[in-house]
Amino acid sequence: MKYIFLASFLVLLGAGVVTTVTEPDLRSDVPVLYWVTDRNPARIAQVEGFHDWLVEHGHVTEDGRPILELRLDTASSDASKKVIQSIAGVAGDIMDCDIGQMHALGVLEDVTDQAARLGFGIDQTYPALEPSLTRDGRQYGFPCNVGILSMWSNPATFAAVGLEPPGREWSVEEFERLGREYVKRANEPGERQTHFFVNSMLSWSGPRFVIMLHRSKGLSIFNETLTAATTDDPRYAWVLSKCRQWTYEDNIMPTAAEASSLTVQSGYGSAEFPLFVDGRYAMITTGRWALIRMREFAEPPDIKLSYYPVPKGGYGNDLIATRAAAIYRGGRNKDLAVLFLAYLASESYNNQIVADADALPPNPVFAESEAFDHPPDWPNEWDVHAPTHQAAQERAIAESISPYIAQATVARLANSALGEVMSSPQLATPEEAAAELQEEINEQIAATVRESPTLMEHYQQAVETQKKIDAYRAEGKPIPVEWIANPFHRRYYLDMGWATVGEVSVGDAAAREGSS
Amino acid sequence: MSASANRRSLKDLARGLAFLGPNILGFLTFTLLPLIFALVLAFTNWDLRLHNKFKDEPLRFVGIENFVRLLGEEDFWRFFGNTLFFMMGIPFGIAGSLVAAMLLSQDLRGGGKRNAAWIIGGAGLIAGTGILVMVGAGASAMTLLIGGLAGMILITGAVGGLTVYRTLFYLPHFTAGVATFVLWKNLYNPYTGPINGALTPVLEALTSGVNAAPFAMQVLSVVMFVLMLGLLAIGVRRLLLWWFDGELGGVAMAIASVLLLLPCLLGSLPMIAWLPYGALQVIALIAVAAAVICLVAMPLAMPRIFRSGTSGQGIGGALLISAVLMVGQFILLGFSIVFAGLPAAAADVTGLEPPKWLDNIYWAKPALMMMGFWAAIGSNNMLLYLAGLAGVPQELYEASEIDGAGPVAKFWNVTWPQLGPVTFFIVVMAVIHGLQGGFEMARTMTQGGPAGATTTLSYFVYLEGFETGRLGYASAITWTLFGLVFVVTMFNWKFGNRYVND
Repeated sequence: MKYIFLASFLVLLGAGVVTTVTEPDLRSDVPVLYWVTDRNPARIAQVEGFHDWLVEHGHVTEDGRPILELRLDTASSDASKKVIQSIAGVAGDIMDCDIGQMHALGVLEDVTDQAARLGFGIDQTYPALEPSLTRDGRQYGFPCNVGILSMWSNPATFAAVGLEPPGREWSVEEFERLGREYVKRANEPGERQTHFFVNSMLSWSGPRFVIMLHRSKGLSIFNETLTAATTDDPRYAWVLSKCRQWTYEDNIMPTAAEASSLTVQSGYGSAEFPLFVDGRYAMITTGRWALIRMREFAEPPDIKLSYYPVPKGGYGNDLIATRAAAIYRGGRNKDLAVLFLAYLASESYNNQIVADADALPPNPVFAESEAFDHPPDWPNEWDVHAPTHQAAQERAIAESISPYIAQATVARLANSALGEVMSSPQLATPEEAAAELQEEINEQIAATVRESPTLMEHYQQAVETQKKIDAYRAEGKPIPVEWIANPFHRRYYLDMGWATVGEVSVGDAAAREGSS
Repeated sequence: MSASANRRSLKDLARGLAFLGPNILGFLTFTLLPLIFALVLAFTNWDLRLHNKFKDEPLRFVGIENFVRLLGEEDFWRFFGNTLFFMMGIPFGIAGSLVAAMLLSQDLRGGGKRNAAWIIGGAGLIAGTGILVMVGAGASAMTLLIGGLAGMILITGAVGGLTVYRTLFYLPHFTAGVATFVLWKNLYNPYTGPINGALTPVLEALTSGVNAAPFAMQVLSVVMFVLMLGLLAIGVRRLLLWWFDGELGGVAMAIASVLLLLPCLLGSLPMIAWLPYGALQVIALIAVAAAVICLVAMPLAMPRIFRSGTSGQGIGGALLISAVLMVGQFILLGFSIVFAGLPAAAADVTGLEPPKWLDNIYWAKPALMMMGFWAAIGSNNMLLYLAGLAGVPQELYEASEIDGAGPVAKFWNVTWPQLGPVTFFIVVMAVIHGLQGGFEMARTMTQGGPAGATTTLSYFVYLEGFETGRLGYASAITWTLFGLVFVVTMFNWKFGNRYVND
């Protein structure tokens, strides 16, 4: 028996030695960096493009090869994995992440100075993204791409039931009217409903839709200083009740079960694209990145795409978001990793995003081209590119994220409130769910700041500022915009003429139709 | 002992330690140390966002603050309630695995004729499924798959006998959890799943039946209510017997009586205002309440009449029987309420519709519980019962047969008592797993929703630890969970053992 054990030990030892010798890192004579990102097939070409860019810009070894080797790590893209690996000191060198969440952990490298030196500063991307990339005036990442949530339609789907598609700017009332009419005409009476006006409120886009709806009523989930939730408000309850009405009363959106019964998920991205292409949904709430999948299904010009903003309840706004890349503070090659961020701002990378349709390019300059607006191979998309870029430039606002609570917790609580109202009106009225949500978020904020003297000090200062804001609002005085931390309120107050930049009151309300 | 013997003994010890060393090292590194670490953590304010190698916030020991906060948190009690709800399926899972084990210990290969019948039946099922596909009458791919599979099982069972069936019954246990969850998610699909596919025609027929005779549903509702009262009566009778025998103290009697009455009170109080539910139940409830109140009051008021006085003597057994009967009472009460509400639901324009299962806040928990029941039938419990059944001495059966015992009498008087130790072990393990379980289901199938309806304590630990980042608080939840498991297991051990040894 002892010989068997000895033999097993030797075999294992040998296997260990072979693994160590053949480990990929050791076979490269340049530093190997890992990019933690999603499974999008376009990433492979982006990595190759980065290696080419390194050579073009002189970041090479003595024999002319790139000074580093970038490899993909798509197995660690789950948010909780990134958190654990970062804390444990073994995260990837470059991470696609929610900068707010990871900065709160203190694991991101401040790249402000390198950004200025290498040309990937905040001024190289959409201004509305500043809150998503910076904290306390310091930059922690750069966008890989930029998303704008919008609705797309295929005019042929409307024509099939004898309806005209909506106008470019439309209200919630028109959305409801058209939706009801569409499902009435597209489905056989008495049969199981198989055609819907738009994809499910309980899909990935649902919570974002909710944000835009309550913002269109002038309400953010947080107050001006991000110190407290403000959902105990008739406007938030209105949004929750609309979600239920559209799904269970008007049936213009499928329930989650209806949506899953219509499709089988496959490939990258949402399972809803095939249903849209198949004409099961008249419209789809999505972003430009959806074109990666759409192009797999659509044979132009069979499906022509048109862009529409999400219907608004008053104040026109779009939600801008980014898949930002950041540098891990515990990485061994941080100086090399920043080169990747510089690459993200480069012409070659941006043109690749333009060509792949992987959302909007991070640098808006490269979206102002004929190649972006009118890709020659895809004439059916010509009605979506320019309006998406225009929305990102003109009326996009980033999500409001409080430093006093984990954003994942806010999302879970908000989804739970939506789920309660959607599940059963007897369980909670929209007003009760909205009030409960506010209470829960505020409890979580209190628990977080209680644990940290530093955060508590910051929080108390912000609460004092909030008191001043409330006093100014009560007196009808314009508020200095630098007091406002919430990106939505900052923009909204300026547009409404309720805020001042320096000593000058700025009002751009006229630019927004239907402002309340 | 000589020097050479000492050397030999030391050598043996060294050799033994060398073999055990890796295992002990692994246990220390990956089990014991993390356990101690988690215990220490539970008394700190460790938050990933504030305390890590990149932050300089000081870590504080907060004493029992995490535990105090936890016990005052509404979510904790809600998720604890969810966990207990899922655990209500444990008795049924155990009963199911016992039935499966008893079936699988029979000789199913009864000769050529039976085999031929099974093969013909299986072939017929497969052919029928094929014809349905060809004529386009298949409700869904999943239904057809199940039909075909059932046919295959019959045929292979006829050929392979018990081995095939034992393997099939054990299949849920060694199939990867996520795969079975995905399967069940499809089974529960309200529109394309075979469960609702099968329920729809049944409910359509039931709608017609209920609309034709709504009174029958009221009668059934009353029957269920009476059965629930029957369970109450059984419990009270057992408690009284113990009490009169001096095995049960007054306090224990009072507490157990209150527990037994609880389902009646909880279920019936809202119903008093609901007239269609029937005045009969209300009258019955009042009568029983009065009787049980007397039962509670009597031992407390007249402690000297009975030998055990007002002590808490026998409280363990009393609580155990109360808990078991309570589960049954709640289930019967649920049926009673459902039957009472059927006429109104059937009169609706849409008639009786199959549930939305995982998407409905009221159905999501029962749906997951049923899935757990399926998994429990073919689990290790079944194997344990199979082993237990093999160990029952045949002479006991022969003796009972000589005494004229039928199959039922043989089960209650021979099989069941002989399986006592196995059942006790299974109950202890099932309760432990029940308290710890639910994470995989919640994560894979529902993300704890809708609206937290399927979030269990283990999923709550994950949310607090890895979503919110409060590791200290999450550790406090795990240790509270451990405390619960420990207390319940000790309780089982102390009082459950009694029935095993009896």
